[in-house]
Order: sequence, then structure tokens, then C-alpha cells
Amino acid sequence: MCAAKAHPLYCLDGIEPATAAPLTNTAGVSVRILTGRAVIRIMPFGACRQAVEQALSGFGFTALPAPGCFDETVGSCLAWAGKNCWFLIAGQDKAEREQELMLALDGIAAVSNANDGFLCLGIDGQDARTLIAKGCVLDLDGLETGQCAVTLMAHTRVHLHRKSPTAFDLMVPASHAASFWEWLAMSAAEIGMSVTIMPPSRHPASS
Amino acid sequence: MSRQRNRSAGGDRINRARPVSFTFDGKTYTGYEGDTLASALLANGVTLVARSFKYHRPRGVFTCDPHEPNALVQLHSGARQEPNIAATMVELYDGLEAHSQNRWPSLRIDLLSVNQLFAPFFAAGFYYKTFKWPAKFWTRVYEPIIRRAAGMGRLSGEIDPASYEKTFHHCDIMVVGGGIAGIEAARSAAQTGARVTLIEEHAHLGGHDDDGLQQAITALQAMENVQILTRTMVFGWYDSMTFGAVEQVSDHLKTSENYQPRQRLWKIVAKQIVLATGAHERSLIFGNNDKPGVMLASAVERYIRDFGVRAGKRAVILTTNNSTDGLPRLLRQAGIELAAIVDARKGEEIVTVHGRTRVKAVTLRGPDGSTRKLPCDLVCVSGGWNPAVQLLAQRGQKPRWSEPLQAFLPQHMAGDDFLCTGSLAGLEHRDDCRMHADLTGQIAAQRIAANSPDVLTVYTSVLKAAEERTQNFAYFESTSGRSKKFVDLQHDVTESDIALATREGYRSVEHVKRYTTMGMATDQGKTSNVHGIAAMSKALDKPMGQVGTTGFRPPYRPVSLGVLAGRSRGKHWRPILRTPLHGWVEDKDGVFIESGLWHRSQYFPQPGETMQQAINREVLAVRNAVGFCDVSTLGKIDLQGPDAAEFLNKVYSNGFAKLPVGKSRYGLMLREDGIVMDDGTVSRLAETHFFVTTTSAELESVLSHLEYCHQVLWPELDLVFADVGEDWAGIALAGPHARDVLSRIVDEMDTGNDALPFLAARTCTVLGGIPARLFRISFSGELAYEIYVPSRFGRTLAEALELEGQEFGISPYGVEALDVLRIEKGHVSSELNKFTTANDLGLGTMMSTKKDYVGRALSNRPGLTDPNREVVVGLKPLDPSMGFRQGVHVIPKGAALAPQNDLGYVTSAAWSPTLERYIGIALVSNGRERLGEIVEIVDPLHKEKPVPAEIVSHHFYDPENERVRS
Repeated sequence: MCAAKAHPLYCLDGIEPATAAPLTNTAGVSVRILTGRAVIRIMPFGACRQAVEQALSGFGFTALPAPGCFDETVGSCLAWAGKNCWFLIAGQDKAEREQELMLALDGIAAVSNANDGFLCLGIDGQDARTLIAKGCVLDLDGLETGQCAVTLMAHTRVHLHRKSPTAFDLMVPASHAASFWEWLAMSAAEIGMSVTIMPPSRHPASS
Repeated sequence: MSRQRNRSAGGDRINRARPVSFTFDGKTYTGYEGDTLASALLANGVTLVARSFKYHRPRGVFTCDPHEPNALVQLHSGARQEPNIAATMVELYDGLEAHSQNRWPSLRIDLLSVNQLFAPFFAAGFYYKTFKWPAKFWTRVYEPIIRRAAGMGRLSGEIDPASYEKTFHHCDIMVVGGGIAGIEAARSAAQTGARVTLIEEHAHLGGHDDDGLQQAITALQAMENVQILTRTMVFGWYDSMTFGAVEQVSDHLKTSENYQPRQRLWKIVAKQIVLATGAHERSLIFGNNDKPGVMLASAVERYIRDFGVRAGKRAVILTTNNSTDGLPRLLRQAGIELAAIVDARKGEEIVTVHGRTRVKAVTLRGPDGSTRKLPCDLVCVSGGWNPAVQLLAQRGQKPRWSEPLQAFLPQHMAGDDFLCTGSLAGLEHRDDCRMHADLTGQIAAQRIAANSPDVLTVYTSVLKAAEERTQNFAYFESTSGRSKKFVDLQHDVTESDIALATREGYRSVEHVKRYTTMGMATDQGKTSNVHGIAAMSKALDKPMGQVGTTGFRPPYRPVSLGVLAGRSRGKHWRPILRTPLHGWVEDKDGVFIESGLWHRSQYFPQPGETMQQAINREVLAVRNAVGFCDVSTLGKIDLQGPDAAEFLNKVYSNGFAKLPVGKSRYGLMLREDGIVMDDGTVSRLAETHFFVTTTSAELESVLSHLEYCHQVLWPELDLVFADVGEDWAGIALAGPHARDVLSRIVDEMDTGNDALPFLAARTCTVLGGIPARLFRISFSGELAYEIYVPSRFGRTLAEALELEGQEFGISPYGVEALDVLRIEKGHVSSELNKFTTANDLGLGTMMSTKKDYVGRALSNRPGLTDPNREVVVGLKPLDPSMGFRQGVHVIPKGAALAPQNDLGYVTSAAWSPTLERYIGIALVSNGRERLGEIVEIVDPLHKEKPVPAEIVSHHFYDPENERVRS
């Protein structure tokens, strides 16, 4: 993007997430902080949904996922994110990707970069579901792999993606991130939590 | 250390190989792992455990259940101190510390038991009749004394060090009650694959008698689709099949293991609920029926069977029913001599109990009226069973009286989403319970699987047949004699109290409950209410069913406030929001202030500076040099689409259809009722692309309003919009040298006044390639810019501004200086208070007369155009050094301090370092006609001296608006 210094984990300034670390002997969950993800917001105009889907085929997606669902291709994930809104999530924040999308969707959808708006977390492990349930009112049995929700967790609006029976991805608004992290660390105290900060090249969106 | 002299054989729940020591009132005792505090005390021969609420009468253990009315104790000490805990539910661990409560100076010698001498005066309604005057004595004298004399335990007053957790849980079928019926219902429901959650408040499944259940329990525990929660109590049934439950996670441990919380609050959503809550045994009414040694028969039985404890040496059984049939054999096995069985069905009764601090003997009366005194130390009482209808009744279902069962049963045994089984449904025999619970589980599972109406014919016929073949003995008599006969043990309510209440005109059971306090204590009358209702029935000559029960509300039994609060206390009581510059502000030793949920930089003190000095310095830096301020909290909305301009033109009161690309405009948004909703800026980045800012506080309401306008008013307009507030960090750069600093950070861009004039809007890059949005807009009244960069670059931008601005004397400023700057300039902010119109705010010219917009029609209604409305004006105290607060009032000079003289109120006030005087903005009735008028600013709340002031224009600084265009 530019030579100037970026602070990808600015929303956790003053917090040492990697030291949150397992309070118990065993870690029931592993939390990956996914830095540098590309999150591109796509909102099709009026009658342009089909045109948008056609344009997205060039990016490996055949259709805009139905509400509450996401699709994955190698390296990218297209997720429903609300009324007439989808996120294209890529493992690496590439300006070219956004430019390509903007060109492809010019005049048929609003495209904006939401990279910096979220703290992206991957939560995995035998107790991941238990941990999520401490703050999430949803019936997690009903949120199957490949499904997602925009919901409240710990008083914060989050995007929740079920990646597998034991793995979830969370997108937390950046302004809430520090508060949410404290909640997460405290909630995981009895479970045990290991934390890894994943650099961009290490976490393709469809891991 | 004392021996456990009352241990007998048996004791399924205890581990005799694991002795544990504990203290009660400072004395050390030994029990076994698996004991409760109550069973261990009884094993050690401790029968006096508590004093009663009002009369301080000696009390012992009465039940083996959570609704224990007598043996309430205080656990732990210091900050962990917790009063009013039923000893029957406290699981013993090594080092447990328990104390008796509500006694002075000691449990054995309680001087407050003098209250018994005044018992004739302490009848029902005593408080209401006695403490009428003088009125001021009530809170200062009477209440403290009464609370001291008649109370329960005490809290430490310190912060609770325990931790509490919360979790959400969903299931298909929730089974409440882990007795024989609950286990059977859960098993049969789970066999279909349904997600079943079984909840039991005791530590073990099995209920009163788990004989032959172990196999079923083991099978249930092995099922993957079954979750079993023991030590968990469902305390409330709320709307939409939502339930509250509390799990005692580590209450039974000396210290919690692996950071486990003390308790966990479960919020459960179930599709079906099977209620197998069982039944509570009730007592009988006879003289001194509260003495230590008088116990429920089922409790005596369970102490022997579960804990190997004999509660006495020589027992008398007083019964009205068959549930005590097995007790004599069990007593003999435990080595307890059976002195007599007093069967009320045969006309036998206990007249009174003798003994001071425990049972020494009873006086019996035979069917022929003859009496005899019989030595004993244990009275086992069974007056029948009350189905535990409380949870079901929380949903508004009034229990019905069953004559055959002589008990209140659920009005409806089944509904669309609930089913009752077991003792709750009136089944008294194990085989009936098993068979019916099995059927109930199947029906619940069918409902989940088929989602179709079920056939309840067999289900109801079983219950009906069981009720019809039952003929329980109706016995709610009380013996004659002068001894006190308690209905409600915990609140010391006697039969005569209830009779008195009815004589005084109370007819409703709800009123009698409140007048006498019957059933109002921690046990909520579970062992006593039916006798109270029977006493009313007798006094009012009304059938039991017509007297009815009181209403039942959550919680089913007491819940600690700590678990309800969970982690939402102290700094965690609500989430905090941080801007992208939060860390940078911390590094600069900036002081934060809470603004809604946001933590914003308030000011940046330098060493030795006071807050006011720092604010003054920051304001003057902006006025004379340059300053920068974090404005990331402003709402930011990205709005795009072919019809975006038309949409904005309809939403805002001023015009946006012709806003050129590359321009910003101040926008005013009205509610439909004509009142101002919010202000902000709209910048046109491209033909179909707008960037909208809102005030920090109103983002959510503006978004909601825009959704309404788009979805309801003009769905035909083609546009989309998104909240992009999190994506961008925003910094306002303001001051005469703002352009100099800006020119050093932007990449290859002409920042001159011609190329970048006032209200210009640009997309550009800064600091070598950081994408940015740049708007020349000003809130301070100075040459100013708002610069937005992706949030990850917020700190980078702040650091660069500080570095590049050093030469020009740059200073960061916080929201305090920001507020002073805008007050000096006369910009409205806190004046947008949901009551003001555009005209009130001096923004009437922003209401277009050439187009329609939201709020236009109603903004012209008489109430909003009244010339006497309060409008924005400035206030200058005649003495520049006399300050005043926001919120104080304005009255005419020399007028009396009275509501009718109120002209308006101060909405903003500050010391202006630029003008070197206090200034304020106020909403004053007919204010524009009062310019030049001398008024008084008054603060009756703080009793401060009136401040004479002149009403002036609220544009104190640069009224010609030249500096923003410089």
C-alpha cells in the first residue's frame, strides 16, 4: 500500500494478546489473530445482483451467498454480511485486489474497503463452541459449517462464521476490540487459551 | 474436634474414607466427603443451628432440601461472607466456615429471644399499626431497630471477590428435575435423537429415592445428545421459552479449580419443557412445632439413607399419609427407637412439643381425647405433599385444588410447549411415575420431530385415573393449647396471625400473605403455604380452591446478585469503545473522558499543568498556531448509487442535489415532527458517491433513519449505504498554520486557497501513499481540515502531524478544547437536544423553501413557530471573571427566583482563553428580541450567587467567518 508505518493491530494497542495465554494447563481453544486480512464490502445497486454475480465469477464465486451463508474458494471467502451486503475476505490485503474488484463492479455495486474496521479472530478447538456460547445468544447447533451470522456477542456486534464443527471466525468492530478481547480472555480462563498472531501470509481466508 | 456420635450405618452419598473438618460458630467438627453442612451437624449432635426471624426461637434442621426454612447460616468470613444459605444445600469441604446468624451474643444464649415475651404485641400487622408517629422516627429510629432485631444474616460490605460466568444454551427439550420422572422422561426423549438437557438442583440425580435408578442414570450420562446439569436450579421461566438457571460451579469446593467461576448463569432457550419438579413434603400444625428435633419425615429418612445420620435417638412419627410407611423400618435399621406412630387418620394428634432448645417429649392425644406425655428427641412429621407448581405458575397459570389429592396441582398438565409428569402431575407411585414420564418424553420428542399436534389421550388418562383412585386424607387441623403453632417457620407466622388478618378484613390470599408475611421468606412458603391457605379457608369459610394460591414469580429460590451481574461490574460493566488513536493518546499521557461508550481524549496536560491550564493552552494553540484533534468518533457513512444525491436531497433540510463533486456541505437533518435530528457534513467524492459524517452520539439513530427513509419512504431510489465509521481514523487539523502542516503531509497536492478552498473535498494520499480523504471544514472557526485515513494509519498520521507541526508550535487538543473552540465560534452542539428546531438553533436559513424534505410539513406547525420559543443566544457575564454552569437558568434582572420568571437555560458554558472571559450559549425565550438585555444567570440547585449577564449573539469569535476561508 505505502511505505508509511501501519499499525495492523492498532485496535489492541496496549494489550499483549500473546501473553493472554493459557491460564490452565491445557488450552481448550486456540485463538489466532488474523492480521492484514483484506475485507472488501460489496453492496449491489438496485437490479444489479446478477451482474455482480457475473463479475464475481472472475474471482471464483458463482453466486452471492444466501443470507446467513458464506462460500470459500482457494484463498478467498465471500460472506453474507447483512441486508444487501457481502464481504469478500482474502488472506492478504492486496490493494490490487480491491482495485480489480472496483473496476469489475463499477456502476453495479458500491465497493469499499473494510480491512481496518475489524479485528479478525480464528477460534479453534474442542471448547471453541463453549467459549462462543458464553457471549453468543445464537443456537450454535443451528449454525452449521458454511453458515454465518451478524449477531451480538458480549454487547458487541460481530460477524460469526462457522468454519468447522470446532472452528469459528469472528470479525469484531475495531473500536470494540480491546473490550472484546478482555471479555474473550476472561471467558477462556477456565477453558485455557493459546494465542497466536498470524501474519498475513500465514492465513488464507479459507483455511 | 468432636466425634460424629450420630452416625449410623448406610450413607450412599458419603465417603467415610475421606473425613473433612469444618467449623460452625468457631467450633471445629468432622464430617465426611459427600455430607452437607446439615447432615454433618446432625451427625455431630448439633441440633440447635439457628434462631428464628422474629421471636429468636431456637431452630434446627427441618428438611433435607433447598427450601429449608430454619437452618439458614452465614458462610465464610470477610469479603466472601454470604448470609442466609440453607445448611441443607451446603456441600461439606475441608475448612468450611459457617456461622449461625440473627442472634446475640451467641446461638445458645440469644438475648434477643426476649422478643418472645412481647409476642402478643408482635402479631400480624404489628409494624403498620405501631410505628405511625412521629414520621421522622420511621427511618431514623424504628427501622434500624427493627432491622437489627428481626433480620437475617449480614453482608460484609466488601467487594465480592468471587467470579461469575454467563452462558447461553439451546436445546430441543429441557427436563427440569432429576428425580425418577425426570430421568425417565429425559431418557425416552433422548432416544429419538432430540437434544435434551436435564437439570437437577441437587448434586446427584435420583431425587428422594434413587433405588434402581443407577442403570438409567448411567445410560443417560452416556448419551451424546444429553446434557446433564447438576447443582443447577432453574429459577425463572420467561417469555419465548427462555429460562434462567444458576449452576453452582465451585460453591462446593474450598477454592475453585482451573479458574472456574463460583457460579454460572445459564440463559436457556428450549423448544419443549418437561416439568418433573416433584413435590415438597408439608408439615403439620401443633404446639411448638418449630422446636429443633421436629423434622419432615422424608428428611429424617434421607439423612439416614443418604448420609448415615440419625437425627435423634427416640422418635415419634406424626403422619397423615402413606409416604411414611417405610420409615419405621429405616429408623430401626439406624438404631433409632420408635416411641410412637401418631396417625392423624385415626384421630391421633400431637398436642404440643416439650423442650427448650430441642425436643424432650411430646404430649399426644388419642382418638378418645386422652392425653399422655411421651419422652422423645425426634418428631418426624408428614402432612402430605405439595406438587412443586411454582415454576409452571410463573407463567400465570393458577394452580387448582385437587380434593382427592388434597394438594394444588397445575391447572393444565400440558400446553403447546410444556408437559408435566411425576409427582408434580399428582402421581404418587414409582411405577406410575416411570410409565408416565416415559410417555411424556416420547410426546416431547414427537413434538420436536414432527412439529405436529400430538395426541395426549393416554397422557391425560393416566393422570386422571391416578387422581381419581387417590383418596388422600384431608387434615389441616391444629391442636388446641397455648403453645405457639407455626404455619410459616421462617417468618414466625402463626395460625393466629392468619386468623387475625382475616378478622381484620383481609380476604385475598395475596393480601394476607403481605400482611402476615407468610410465604415471603427465602423458602417462599414451600412447606407452609398450603397450611396458611387452609387456615384462611377455615376462617373465611371458603373452599381451599376458592382461596387459591398466591402468584409465583422468579426466582424459584434465592439467587445471588453476583451471578446476575456476572462480569458486568467495575470496569467491565459495559464495553468501552476506543478510537484508532487510543494508544497514541495514552503514550502522550492524554487524559480520557467517557463520552457515551467512547473513551475520548479529554486534554493533554504538560507537567505541572492543571486541567484548565491545559485546555487554555490547547485552545490558544489552535487560535494562534495550529492544533490537531482526534475526531474518529464522528459517524461516517458511505453512500453510493445513481440516486444518492436525490436521496440526500430528500433527507436533509438543505439542498444536496446540486452539490458539486469535490465539495462538502454542512447538512441539517430533521425528524418527521420537524425537530432537529442531527447535523453533520456531506461530501461528494464522485457523481454517485458521498461521504456523510454525523455527530458521534447520533450515528445509530441516523443510520436507522436512513434505512427507514430508503426502505419505507423512497424504496424506488437506487442507492446503498454502509456504516464505515470503523474503517477510518479522523483527525481535525486547525489553526492559522494548518495549511503549512498539511502541505507537508499530503502527496503532490496543491493545498493553496484556490486549489483547496473552504468546503473542498478531496480523495488523495498522504505520507507517501496512504489513501486519505481530505475535507476543508471547520468546527473551530479557524482554517481547518479533516483528514481521514484507514484506521491502521491513524497513529502514523498523528505522529506525522506532531513531527511536521513542531516548527509551527502544533499541539494536540482534546474534547474540552474542542468544546471551548466551538462555543467561542457559536457552533451549536449540545443545543441539539431533541426539543429544538432549526430556527431555534439559528439555522432557519438551512430549511429549503424550494424542495420537500423529511420534517418540512410539521416544522411549520404553530407550536414550532411560536415567536416566544426558546432560541439560541449568547451570554456574557457583566463581570468577565464570573463563571456559571451548563444547565443553570436565566431570569430577568431583579426578578424573583420562581418558575414563572424562567426565561430559559444555559446549554453551553466555558472560560474563553481567547476572549479572556466566561461565555455561554443559552436557549432563551424570544431570545433574538432580547439582544442587549441584562439578565441574571441563577443556579438555585447549588445556591450560587446570581451572575448578571448580557444577552448577545452566540457568535462570539470571528462573526464574519473570515478565518475559516483564509
